[in-house]
This record gives sequence, structure tokens and C-alpha cells, in this order.
Amino acid sequence: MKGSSFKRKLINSRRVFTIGAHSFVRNAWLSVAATVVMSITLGCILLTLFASYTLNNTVQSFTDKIDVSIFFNADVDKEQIQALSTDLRNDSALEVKEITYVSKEDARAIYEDSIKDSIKELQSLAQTNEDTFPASIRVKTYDTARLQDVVEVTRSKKYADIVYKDSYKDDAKRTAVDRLGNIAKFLRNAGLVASILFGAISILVILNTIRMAIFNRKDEIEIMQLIGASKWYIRGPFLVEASIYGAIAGIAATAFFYGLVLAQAPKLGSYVEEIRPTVEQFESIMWIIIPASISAGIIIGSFSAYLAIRRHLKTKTTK
Amino acid sequence: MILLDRVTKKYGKKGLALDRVSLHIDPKEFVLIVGTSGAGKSTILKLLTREEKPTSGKIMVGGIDYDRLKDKEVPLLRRKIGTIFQDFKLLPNRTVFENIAFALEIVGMTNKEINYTVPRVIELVGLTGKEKNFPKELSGGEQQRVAIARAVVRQPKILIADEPTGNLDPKHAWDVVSVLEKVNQHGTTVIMTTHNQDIVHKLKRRVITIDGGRIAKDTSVKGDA
Repeated sequence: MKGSSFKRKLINSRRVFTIGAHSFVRNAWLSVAATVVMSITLGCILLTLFASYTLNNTVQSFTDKIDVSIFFNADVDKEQIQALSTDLRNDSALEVKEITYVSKEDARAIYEDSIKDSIKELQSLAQTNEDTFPASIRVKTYDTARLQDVVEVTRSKKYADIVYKDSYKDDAKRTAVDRLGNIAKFLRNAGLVASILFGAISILVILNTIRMAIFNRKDEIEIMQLIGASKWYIRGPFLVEASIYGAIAGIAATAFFYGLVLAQAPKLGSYVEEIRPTVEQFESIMWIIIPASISAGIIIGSFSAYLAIRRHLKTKTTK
Repeated sequence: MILLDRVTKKYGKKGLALDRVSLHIDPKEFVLIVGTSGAGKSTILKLLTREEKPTSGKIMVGGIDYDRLKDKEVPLLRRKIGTIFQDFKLLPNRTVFENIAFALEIVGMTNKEINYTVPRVIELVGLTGKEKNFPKELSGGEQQRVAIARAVVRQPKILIADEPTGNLDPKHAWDVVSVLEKVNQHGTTVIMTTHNQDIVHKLKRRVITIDGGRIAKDTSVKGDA
């Protein structure tokens, strides 16, 4: 008995799906319009995600380059520098990420490498003594705002005898990164607003499409109700129809995104370096993006259809 | 089988469609409900199919107490009651076969079961050879016979016919009534509303006369009230 009931449910589900698919084909123009709007919505969401990742990577990459150099007096030995480094590391409020020691020799070598093409400068360098380039440490923090706290420590009386100077006087780099971060935040919010806006338009278009489909099949629905079709049998095809819009839109949006945007990304890469790692990230999670996009389309579609059904498909008796 | 106990139906504050109507219909009966337009005939049928709920009173059909019937159980109730309408309510874009099969599709019958059952019902209503015709290619009487076939294809215990001959000429009206008699002979309770006095007199069945929302007369086959 149970097996028979299950079989009937299975047959009904197949019929519901078939009716929904037929309705999708029958309302071809409305279906195309609904699918296109939904594709734009999903495309917009994908682009926002992509832009957001790219900008985050850009901000991260710039942030990684921000550090402060602490230069030491010529007579300071390595142990004293190590002691200061340990103090900085142990102070958790400073959020120190990395401290790199640059010896006098290393500093000279780095400078030498940077002027290797200029014979004149190399000649001048040869005339300098070994203390011309002071030893230093380069300090990076997790939060670039903490760099100021770092120099407050190194400028304190405790280290006055060993610290010669620091590079913090020029805060422009950090300000530029902060500005970039704000732009990223703005673009992310703008993308979110655009996605919500297109999402709302999608819901309205699909809601109206399903409303018209309900209106077109008004007689059929009335007959179905009178001869005992279940609520699910009557409502199901509309949910299926809207889900088809969503699934096709999900495929179209990802095809557009991967086929066009990512294909053009290498060209953009020459302007914004950080696009490349983002492209790689998106390529590696393609197997998540595609089903997620299709699922999002189906959810938006069936939600819109549900709203239309609730509002326009009367199945209750009156008292 | 069917019981209405002091059933009242009001539409708004002034529209009294039925006023404390009580009646009992036994299994396998053929009952005609007559009365002028607006008397309340169709309201009784709509209450039986649960298209509408009574304002007060009790309705029981085949042991089902309508007071306890939930909305989600209404489709199951309607599957036990065959319904025929004055305007046939056939799907214009489906053939005779498909229109009848539709009633079986919605309950999840297999195509094999449908292909076995539908031709037999088509034969019962005398439409063999018209399976592939669309409703617009049929006469009014033939369309109503398709509607009867659709109503009885699930072998309901009760068949409700709301003015089934209302749009038909006398000849086709009789064809339809003959089919309904045949269905009744197979053991189905038939409740039919009509204006047609000719049918009422010739059929010689129980007649319930409704007037102003009340039962004015309930006459059995022998004519006793």
C-alpha cells in the first residue's frame, strides 16, 4: 500500500515537473524576460564578489608592503637590537607580525644593488666608511595603525641611546592604503546595493510572470481544484517554472562570468596586478560557484513564485 | 450517506441563501433538486463539494463530518465526489480522452491504468470514436457527456450535477439524463439540480423543491411528501 502511494507521488512529481516545463516553453517570451533579468542579478552578484576579492587582495598586497624601519646608532651591537626586537614582539598590543634585522653590511649591499647601473654613485659609495649605513630592523604589524605605537616605543627614553631614527615620519603610504581600503569598502557596498536592487527587480518580474501564467491557466486551475487536485499538484508547476528560470539564469550568469570576465582578466592584469590571484582563486572554486549560482537562481525563482501563488492562487473555501 | 442538519448559508448581512435546511439522502438514490433561480439549489451543491462553508449547521457526507474537515483534506473529499457543471468546464486544448484522463492524472494513476480505464468510461457515456476530438468539435450534449465521463472515471460514490441540462436542447438533455440514470444504476448516488420540469416529471425520482432558501417540498418516487 505504502509502495503504491510512493509510486503515485513519484508519478505526480514527474507530471508536476512536466507541466511546469511545458508552461516555461509555452510562455516563451515571458520566460526569456524573467530569465534575462535573473541572469543580470546573478551576474551582478558574481561581479561584486569578484571585484570585492580583487580589491581585498590589492589592499592586502599594499598593506603587506607597509612597515617601519628603526635605525640604530653605529655603536649598538646585535644583542641590544635583539633585546629591543624581543620587547616589541612581547608587547601584544603592538600586534607585531614580522621583524627583519638588516645589518650594516646588508644595508650597504642593498643600496649597492639599487645603484649598480650608476658608476658615479658606485664610486661615491666606495669612498664611504662602514658606518655610513646603520643597522636597522623592519617592523610589520597586522594592523598598520599599530606602526605608530611601535615608533612610540622605540622613541621612548628607554631606547634613546640606541635608536638613531625611524622611517615613520612619512605616513603617506599608510594613508593611501587606508584610502584604497575605503574605496574597496564603498565598491563592496555599492555592489551589494546593486545586487539587492536587481534581486528585487528579478523577484518583481518573476512574480508578474507567474501571475500571468496563473491568469492564463485560470480555468484549468479552477477545474483542477473542483475535481480534487492537491494544492501541491496545482502550485507545483509554477514553482517548477520559476525554478527553471533560476537554473538557466544561474548557468547563463556563470557562463558569462567565466567566459567573458575571466577571459578578459589577463588584459586587466596589466593595470591591476592583484586580478591574477583573484582569477586563480575563482578558477579553483568554479565547482562551488556554478552550483551556488544555480541554487541562488532557483531560490530567488521559487521564492518569487511562492509569493505570486500566495497572492493570486486562491485555494481556500469561503465561509 | 448525505446529511444536512439545519444548514444556513449567508452571503454578507442580508444575502440569506439557505435557511436551516435539513435533508437526508440515502446511498444509490437519484435526487432532483428544483427551484427558481436564486432559490439556493446551487448553494447546496457548493456546500457538498466544500466550495463554500456553511454559516451554521452540520454537513456529513459518507461519514465525513465537514466541521472537522481541514482545508488540506478538501481535495481528498472532492476525489470521492464526481461533479458536473452547467458550463461543462472542459479544457479546450485537450482532447476528449485527455480531458477524462486529467481526473486520473491528478491522483497519480499510471499511464497504463489511464489507458485501461478511460476507454471504458468513454464507452459508458456513448462517445466511442470521439476520443481524439477537442471539445469545440462536439455538440453541447456530447461535451456534457465528456464531463460526466470525467466525473465518474474515478468511480465516486456520489455524483453531483449542477444544471447539467441547462445549456442543452431537449434531445441532448435527455441523452445526458439517460447517462446519469445509467451511472445511478451502477450504484452511484446522483444529486442533480434542474429547472427542466419535463425531466422532473418523466424521471419519476425523489424531488426536493427549494424556495427562498428553504425546503418547500420533498417528494419521493411515489409522490408522498
